[in-house]
Amino acid sequence: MTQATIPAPAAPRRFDFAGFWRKYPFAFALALTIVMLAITIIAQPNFAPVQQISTWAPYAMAGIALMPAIISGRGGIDLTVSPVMTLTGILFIGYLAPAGLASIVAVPILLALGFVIGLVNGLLIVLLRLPAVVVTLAMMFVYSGVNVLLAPSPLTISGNWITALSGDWGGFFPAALVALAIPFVAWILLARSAWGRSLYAAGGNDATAFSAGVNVAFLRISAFVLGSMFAVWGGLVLVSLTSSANASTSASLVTTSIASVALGGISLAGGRGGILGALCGSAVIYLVQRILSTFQVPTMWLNLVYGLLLIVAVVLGAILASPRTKR
Amino acid sequence: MRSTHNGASRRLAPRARGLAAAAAAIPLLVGLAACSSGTTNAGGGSNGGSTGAASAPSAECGTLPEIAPNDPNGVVAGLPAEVQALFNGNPYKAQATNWADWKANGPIKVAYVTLPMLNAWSVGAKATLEQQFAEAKAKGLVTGDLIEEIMSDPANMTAQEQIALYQDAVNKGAQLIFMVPFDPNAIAPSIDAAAAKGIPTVTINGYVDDANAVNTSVNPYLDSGAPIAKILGYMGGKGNALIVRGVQGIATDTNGYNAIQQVLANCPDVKVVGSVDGGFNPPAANAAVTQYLAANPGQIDAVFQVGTMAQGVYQAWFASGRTPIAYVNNTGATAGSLAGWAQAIQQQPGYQTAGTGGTGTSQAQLAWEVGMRMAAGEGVKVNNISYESPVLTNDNFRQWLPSGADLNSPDETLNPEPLISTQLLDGYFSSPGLYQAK
Amino acid sequence: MTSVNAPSPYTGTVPLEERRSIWHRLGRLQGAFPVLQLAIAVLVYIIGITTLPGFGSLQSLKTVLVIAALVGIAAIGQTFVVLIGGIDMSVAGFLVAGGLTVTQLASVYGLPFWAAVLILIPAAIILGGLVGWVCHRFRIDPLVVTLAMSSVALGIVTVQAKGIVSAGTPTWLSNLTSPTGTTFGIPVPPVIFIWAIVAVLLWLLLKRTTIGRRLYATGANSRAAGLSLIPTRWLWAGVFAFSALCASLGGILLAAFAGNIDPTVGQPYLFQSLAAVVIGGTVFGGPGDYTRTIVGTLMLVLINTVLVGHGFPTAASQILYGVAILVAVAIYGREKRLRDRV
Repeated sequence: MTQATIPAPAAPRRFDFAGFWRKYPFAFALALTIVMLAITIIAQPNFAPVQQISTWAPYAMAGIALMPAIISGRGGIDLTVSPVMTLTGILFIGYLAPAGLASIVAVPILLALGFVIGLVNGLLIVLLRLPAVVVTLAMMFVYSGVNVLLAPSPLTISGNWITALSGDWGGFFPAALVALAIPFVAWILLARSAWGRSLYAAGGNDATAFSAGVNVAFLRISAFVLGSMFAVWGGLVLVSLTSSANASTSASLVTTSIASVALGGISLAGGRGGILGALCGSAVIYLVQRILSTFQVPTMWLNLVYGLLLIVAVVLGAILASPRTKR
Repeated sequence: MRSTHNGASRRLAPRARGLAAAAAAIPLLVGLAACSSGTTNAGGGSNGGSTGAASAPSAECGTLPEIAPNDPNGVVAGLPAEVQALFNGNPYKAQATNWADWKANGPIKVAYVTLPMLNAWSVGAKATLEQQFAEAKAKGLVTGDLIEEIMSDPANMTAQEQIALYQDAVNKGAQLIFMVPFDPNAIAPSIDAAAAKGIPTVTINGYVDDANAVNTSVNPYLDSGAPIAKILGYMGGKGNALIVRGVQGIATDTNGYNAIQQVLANCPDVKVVGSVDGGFNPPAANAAVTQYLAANPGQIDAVFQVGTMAQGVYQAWFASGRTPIAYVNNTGATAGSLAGWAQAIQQQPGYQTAGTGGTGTSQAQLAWEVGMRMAAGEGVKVNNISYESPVLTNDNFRQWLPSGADLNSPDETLNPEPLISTQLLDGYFSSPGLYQAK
Repeated sequence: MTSVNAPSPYTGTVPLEERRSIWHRLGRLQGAFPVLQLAIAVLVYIIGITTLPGFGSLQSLKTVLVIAALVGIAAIGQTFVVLIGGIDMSVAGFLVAGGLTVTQLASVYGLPFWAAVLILIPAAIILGGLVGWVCHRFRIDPLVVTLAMSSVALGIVTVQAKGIVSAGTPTWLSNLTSPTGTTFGIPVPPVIFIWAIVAVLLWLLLKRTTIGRRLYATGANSRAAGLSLIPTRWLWAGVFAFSALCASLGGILLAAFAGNIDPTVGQPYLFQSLAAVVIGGTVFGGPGDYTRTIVGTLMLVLINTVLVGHGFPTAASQILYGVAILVAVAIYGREKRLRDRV
């Protein structure tokens, strides 16, 4: 009955709000996604998830492809994601298909191409110590030009296995989710591995990681390689949706991919954020467009609403995540 | 991301040699390009695309050669003779349509899927559809509100966005969809999916190679070819020509360019001296032609553009102050291009050129009428309502020129003539007359 | 964005005997002024003159300078933003917004030209300043915020003009950028004079004023600059405000050149401005200045014009752009070795 030996109960711990947001930088984008999804479904009962997901998938892949480069830090960014996605489609339809290689064997061939593209980017950036944004800007010009030379007029394909990636299985399950699941699982496994942990360390502060014995150069190069391979996969996802390849799309996903990644809490300074951030960020961008059209927002407001939403979301996300980077 | 001052200049010394060598590559490349004097790359072949450039039979220079249309299944032969003439040289593949028996049961819901409101064309098309919709609603042909699905960001247009917008229209219960396709190839699977649900799609200003779409696109061979054939006549069949393309890599540009080549094939004394890209908008065309004229002060007698860019060409030409004023085909004329035409006549009496009319307003009008006729059960016969835009010459172009328009005007032309006469349009339907326009 | 660099006892060795080889001296010169780019520009111009008959005429030169002036003015803001360590992706949006304000708003509201300009200037400054302030206060990379502000700027103008997105330029304005235009009787287009005057003013600003020095300091090491009582937040706001203002005023000139504006005309200038700044040799966070950007602009425009003049496909000139950027940044923009930053 006496409580002499029982210590007084500790005061209940308050929920560490700031810490929660810092630990889960994608949480804000996730919350936004859920809210926007709810709004969209309520306003538009005929939601048709299969089609929505397969239309969203290329945006998601563009964000996923951009993610490793940004996480690797030191101003890392990859502006070549968009032209590489186009290049993949052009090669698949315009060159592999006529050669009879448009079956599943095309995937390793194209992934090998992505490997090389990423390697070139990585070597230029890491070994020559050039700023990533400039190198990838230059390579973006180069690949855009290459795309036009390779495909002077649009290319189409029909009846190929790849269109199954954007259809549905059993009439209801979106195949695009499977297409997204592959890089998702790959990244989760890699991020948990020693490679992934070292990458985050190098992204957060490369000097410190270097002095701890981490091979920063190899990590950063491999991040660009991985990013380009994801971009190639994204190109295949795009082809599955559009069944065509068009050189004029080379630059169409550059700015939206950056916006998605930023919204998803993946700091452009590096070292934080993950694939959930890329997915949620691209989902927010996609749903913004959907909501604007669902509510028939007059055309003159579209730009303004889009821009304001982006600013508010990015600022809010930055306030909440508040990484401790020094300037 | 920064470099230091000290380290940079100290490291430059040994590196300067190597990098100077690398940097010398740039002028070398430019020099090589200059010496080899590359001619333009022709629009290469496509796989399974909707473009099929037939070779031009020999004809007199200045006349428009008769070229067989892209019609592998002989669909065009089933149309009346005067309608068949509209398919002359048409590279868009003619197919039997799946909508021959379609008819609406009562008032239908209608959707309009289109590009961002970028220019007078898109604004005019949208306004026309809204107006037509309101009139049709008063007559009980349509119900609800016009479902508008407009792409949001002009700087980042993607095929995926339009696919999502299109599917949104389908989800909202549209029973007839009018669409300005952004990427005709990419939207085809969605059109097929909608067709499986019994929803027809009528396209405006963008040919979709699909039996499930009903296209109302101008015949690009006639649109570019007819005015240029006239101009070649005015030139006496000889001279230097500059070609202004649009955006390389899309079908409209390839078709327009091929059409120009086909008409020029019969005029060996007309030399193509160069080609630039005008981006299908007058400001970009202006910049490209200005640059070209700055670099090539040689004689240029004519500028052939693939469509809608004549205004930019005139702006560049007048700014350069060159005389005599080049012949510019006003294919896809705009108020600004016609004003340029008038200005050319004023500065150089005796100047003549040719062009074609056709605005967002009139094209949307045509598409609406086609859709409504289908809804009335008239039974469309082919998947492409090919037509020939009204030809503009010195005699009639002023009727299309809005008053007060000048060279910088962004507006469309007036529409004194319809794109296709009612009689010719009737030829596309099995049971014409069921739909009464106004 | 950058970590604090601890001073190392080995700040690079000074050679015991100064090497006076010509390469060494050229290298030092190159570090101070874009000699190589200028040489390439001149070389390309000579190639143009020899292979394109008549290219050396005064008229052609004036045309090339007019086009270069447009790109150069679009690149002013980009230069300043790069100097402070960021990237400005809103150049396109403000170019279009500026052009639309003086053409379209003026016609919708019946305003005279000068009234539209007087509305434009504070609006651009406020929007740009907001971007800079937000980026500094919340430590967000300007890449995304400028991207969003680009849409906002365009959106504000579009809403004000009730959705009509194109309007024509008055003829007198077009004469500013016409290659056959004259300035007070001198046969040089006004825009070239404007560009020259602006270039001189900017050189003075960067090299001879306190603000310029503070700008370089903030770009080099923002934290140290802050500790030196430099008002970095004001500088960031000011630089982005200035960038937005320059892009907006550049939009007026673009409207003059192009005759009318639609939302896509600004897009090519975004990447071109960045390319011109980088090729000129300005590095993120400094060193660099606007004269380098001018040289970079001239080089790019000359290459482009000569290639266009020879009918070279645009794809090839794009690839050449990419190569040129890589070479330029390989000369100037290399960063310190990782082991030197530990």
